[in-house]
Amino acid sequence: MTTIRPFTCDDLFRFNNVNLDPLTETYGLPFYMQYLAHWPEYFQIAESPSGEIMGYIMGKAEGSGDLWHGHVTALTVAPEFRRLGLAAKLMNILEEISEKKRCYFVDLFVRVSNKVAVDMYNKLGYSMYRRVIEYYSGDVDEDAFGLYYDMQLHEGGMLDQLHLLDVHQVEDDLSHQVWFQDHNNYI
Amino acid sequence: MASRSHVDVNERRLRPIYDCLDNGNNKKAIQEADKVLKKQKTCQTAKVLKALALLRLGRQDESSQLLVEVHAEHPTEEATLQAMAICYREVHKMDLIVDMYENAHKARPDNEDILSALFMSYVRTGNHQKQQQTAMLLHKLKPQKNPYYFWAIMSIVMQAHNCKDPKLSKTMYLPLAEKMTEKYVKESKIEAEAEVRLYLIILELLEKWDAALELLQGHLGDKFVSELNFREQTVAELYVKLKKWPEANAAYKNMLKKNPDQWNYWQEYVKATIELCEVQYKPHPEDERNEEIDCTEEQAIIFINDCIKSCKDDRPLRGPYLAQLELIRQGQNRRNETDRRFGDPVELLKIYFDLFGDRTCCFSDVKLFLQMLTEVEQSRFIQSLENSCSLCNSGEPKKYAENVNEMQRHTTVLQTSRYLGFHDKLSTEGKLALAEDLLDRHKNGLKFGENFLSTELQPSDIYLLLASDIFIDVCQKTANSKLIWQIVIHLEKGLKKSPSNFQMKLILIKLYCTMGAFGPCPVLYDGMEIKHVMNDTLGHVVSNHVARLGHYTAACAMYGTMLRFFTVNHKETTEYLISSYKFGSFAKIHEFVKFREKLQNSLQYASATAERMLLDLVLETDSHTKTEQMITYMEIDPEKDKTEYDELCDNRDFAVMTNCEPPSRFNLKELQKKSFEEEKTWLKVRNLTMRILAAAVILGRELNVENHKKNGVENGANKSMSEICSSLKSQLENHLESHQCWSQDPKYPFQMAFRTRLCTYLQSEHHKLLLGMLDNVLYASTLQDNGIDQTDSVKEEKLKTCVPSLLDGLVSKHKCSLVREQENGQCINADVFENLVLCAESVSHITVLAGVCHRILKPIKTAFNRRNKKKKGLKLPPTFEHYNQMLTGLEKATLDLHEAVRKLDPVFLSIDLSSLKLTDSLSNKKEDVEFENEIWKKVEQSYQQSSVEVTELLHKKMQYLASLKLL
Repeated sequence: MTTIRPFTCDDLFRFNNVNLDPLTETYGLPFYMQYLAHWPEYFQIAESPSGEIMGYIMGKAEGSGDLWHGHVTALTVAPEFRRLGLAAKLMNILEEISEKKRCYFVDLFVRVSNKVAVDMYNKLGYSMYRRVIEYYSGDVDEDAFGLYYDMQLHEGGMLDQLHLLDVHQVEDDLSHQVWFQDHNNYI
Repeated sequence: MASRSHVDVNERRLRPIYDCLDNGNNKKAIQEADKVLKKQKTCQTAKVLKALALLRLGRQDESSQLLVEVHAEHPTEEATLQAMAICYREVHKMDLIVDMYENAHKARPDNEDILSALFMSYVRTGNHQKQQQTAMLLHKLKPQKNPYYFWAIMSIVMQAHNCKDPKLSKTMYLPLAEKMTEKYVKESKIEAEAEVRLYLIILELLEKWDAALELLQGHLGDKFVSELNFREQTVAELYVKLKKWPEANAAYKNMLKKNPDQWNYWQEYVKATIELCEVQYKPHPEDERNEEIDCTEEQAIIFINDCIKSCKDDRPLRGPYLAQLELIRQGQNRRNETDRRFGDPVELLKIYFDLFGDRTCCFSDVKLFLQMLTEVEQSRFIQSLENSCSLCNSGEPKKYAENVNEMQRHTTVLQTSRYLGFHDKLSTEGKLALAEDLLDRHKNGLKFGENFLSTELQPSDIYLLLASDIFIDVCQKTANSKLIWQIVIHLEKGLKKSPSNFQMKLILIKLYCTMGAFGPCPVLYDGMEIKHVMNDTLGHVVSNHVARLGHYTAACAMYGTMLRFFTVNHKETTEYLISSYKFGSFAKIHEFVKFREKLQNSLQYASATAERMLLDLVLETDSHTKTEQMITYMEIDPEKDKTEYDELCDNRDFAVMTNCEPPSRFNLKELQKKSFEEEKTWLKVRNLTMRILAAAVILGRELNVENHKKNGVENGANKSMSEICSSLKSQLENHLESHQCWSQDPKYPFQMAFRTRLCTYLQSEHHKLLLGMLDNVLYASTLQDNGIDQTDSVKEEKLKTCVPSLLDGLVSKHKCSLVREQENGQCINADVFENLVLCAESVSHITVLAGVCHRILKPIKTAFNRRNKKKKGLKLPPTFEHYNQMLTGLEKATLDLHEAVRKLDPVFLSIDLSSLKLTDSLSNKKEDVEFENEIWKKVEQSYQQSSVEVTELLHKKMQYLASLKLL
């Protein structure tokens, strides 16, 4: 029992019960706003009947040519709303949107220590295609598993292509300073 | 990284500079730039890139010198303009970006890039009218590019939003935007989804629901593809807006068939059904949608049951079960009477509990429906829950949960019972017994999470949290500090087992602060990784305590972090408005603007600013020269309050701490509203205090300096500073007069905001000290104007005695020992910290004002002495002597206060808190004893810290006062 709706700026004032979880990162406002401005449909939030925020998913579509894909930037569910299948549901939404955009695959990174999450993604059909050394920086740096889900648009699967994927291209970070503006509006 | 569109010679030369800048090697970037400039003296881009490197090295002056130089040359090179825009953005000079591109556009009117950048520069400054004009110029330049045309339309929509007169926006701006869009529709020029979305936004703002519906259902509606179900859902919403209940009912029903767990669909479906039932809607026999429409509650029940049945095989969905309850709840609200024809809510809730009671979300789910129960039903419900849960049985031997699910069911019962107010009905003994039982169960339940990672929460934590809620209930009734320490110990212990539990941390911070100990809080606060926007929503957890308890160093750091968030974010977020135009996310533009306003007008921002300024003013100042420097540096305009009180936004999040408090005594909205009022009242006191101090300091400086420019702020009305002081005085008096209601502790529930210091301030009448001293300043200033022989005996008397005796009275009233004997042992006088800290602050403020008196009187005294030398036997005016007597009085009272604060240091007093029996020990086990000693050590250190920091401050004030003698 959940209302799933697009994430709005005001939700940033209320998502503490979700973000105080130690594995959920709170980013600077530009990060959220970049996603809201660019991929609003990929940023969805789940709300309980009494109005509490249960969790949210943040994602984007990127890459060119054969590497056009959906990416899960953040997926989180507050502790009291776990074991309800909510994460799977949010993932389904992201996959469905990616399918509409004719993405070839969906990928994501997860902390190697986050066993619960890795198991869940495996159950949802995600497989590992790489391990990124020290992807997460912190007191102790941690590796990430790169997982992907093939949208079955290519015969023979995606795995060959994935190695072409540059980590920096999918890095969950703000792009570097843009010196020259491009003029492709509404891309 | 840098995506460069064209590579020419120039570009190749500049490349090393770009690379250095990208790599953060600013020093090298300067060298590279100089290299280029040696060959090409006039290369604007090199100059600007150098300016950027200088800026990033903190060499602002040199940087801006270069920029001014290039700016005056009206550059038109794209690379130069881009780099300059980056510089201006970093120093937040958005208007210079506008000016720069306006110049460039004048020189190259046909350049699309420049014009587009000019548009963006207007977006940054929020100049929607110019945006519109510029977008139209772009459109004329490139009529085939749709985005430009729609940027213009969006700019008109923004003017409609911003327009103060809603009539004008509805009769002028929006119709214009509508017409422009319609033109493109008619000419079949619409291309992108974003364009149709903008059309929909305009129609919705105009409340043209029919037209919006038509748009969605027409061929342009096909464009809505990016957001899942957007079209279907918006159509359904429009049916509701248009009160087309049969259509709404059918639409939501259809969506529910595909998605039977979507709560807002159920709410709307139920609403539509009840509306139809109310008008006794009869379907038209020929209408083919008939079978889709449920126009009675009976039909709705059939549909809900079908939904339940259809997902029997999978994991049961919570949606349809709660829909049954929603049907009763909405019916009851609509008809304003208890109506049980469509089901017994107690029975339905019980079924829900049987199915989902072992989920942590169960209580949160049913919460919404508990309030519709009658009192009898509530008892019946709790009774049936307790009967079905064997752990609720108080019989011997005590039965513990055998697995997590059983434990979860039990805690769901407990939460429900608390929410329904059954804990409140217990006697104090009953409450304590229940809390002890829960503590025991918490301990027992830890076995279920033995191998958990530190990032996971212990499943039995909820027992501990409920126990502390109940203990706190008792404390609030009986002010029992022994019990507070008990909870602290239990929570600290629980936290060891469940280090990620933020609820425990939030409660602990509050408990420590209630006992006057801020010291343990920063670790707890930082342990929650409070950052970015949380500074705004959760900063309140510490901000009302840190300065209150005299932890000045921590206070400066914490306010500093909060303020940095607000200023940095205001700079950075404009760029995303630009992105929204580029990506055509028109729906986000107004949302972003509103969001930025909410942050800019945040209460937390305004309060942290005021507190930080007051702290800065008093912390480091041990002489009046330093105070004057500080005031100059702060650029305060005493005539104007920077805070727009009516615009303030309360972004504090309290919901995070409360979930099962009984609504009968805990109405979050009401309580937050009250706390917001209190905060605003206190903020105004703080702002007025700051303005009074600033005005007085400026007054003192002005009388002595010829330069009449007031503190760097132009004074248009040319009001004299003494007039401003008098006006501020009456403003503060009137403000406090009309807010006397806050002199009583507002006594918010524990889980709510902590009160401000306003009640303490009012009870001890600290304003009398400030204003009394301000009178002295004003008196001195009239003597300066009218001559030292124009003394007034009443005012002379006041000068001599008033403030010192008030201060003396306050210090005597509040000084007391840290530890007090109580009937059953010893306890901490927690209030003493707040009282003495506030006294120390008042001392600091009146010292500043005494400094102003000195500043005014000293030249008069010197002049008098000079005259006296020439013409012996002049009668010495009494003022100088009175002033010195006042100063002596202040010094004595400050010394007293200093002594009183020093005596709060347990180390100085050689008090060992762990030996005081402030509360009962957990056990005699060595590990427990050591664990508790650690806690007492932290508290001890915190009291010491308060004492040391406040005595240091007072020490500075004594130096300050000593420098103010009139010799």
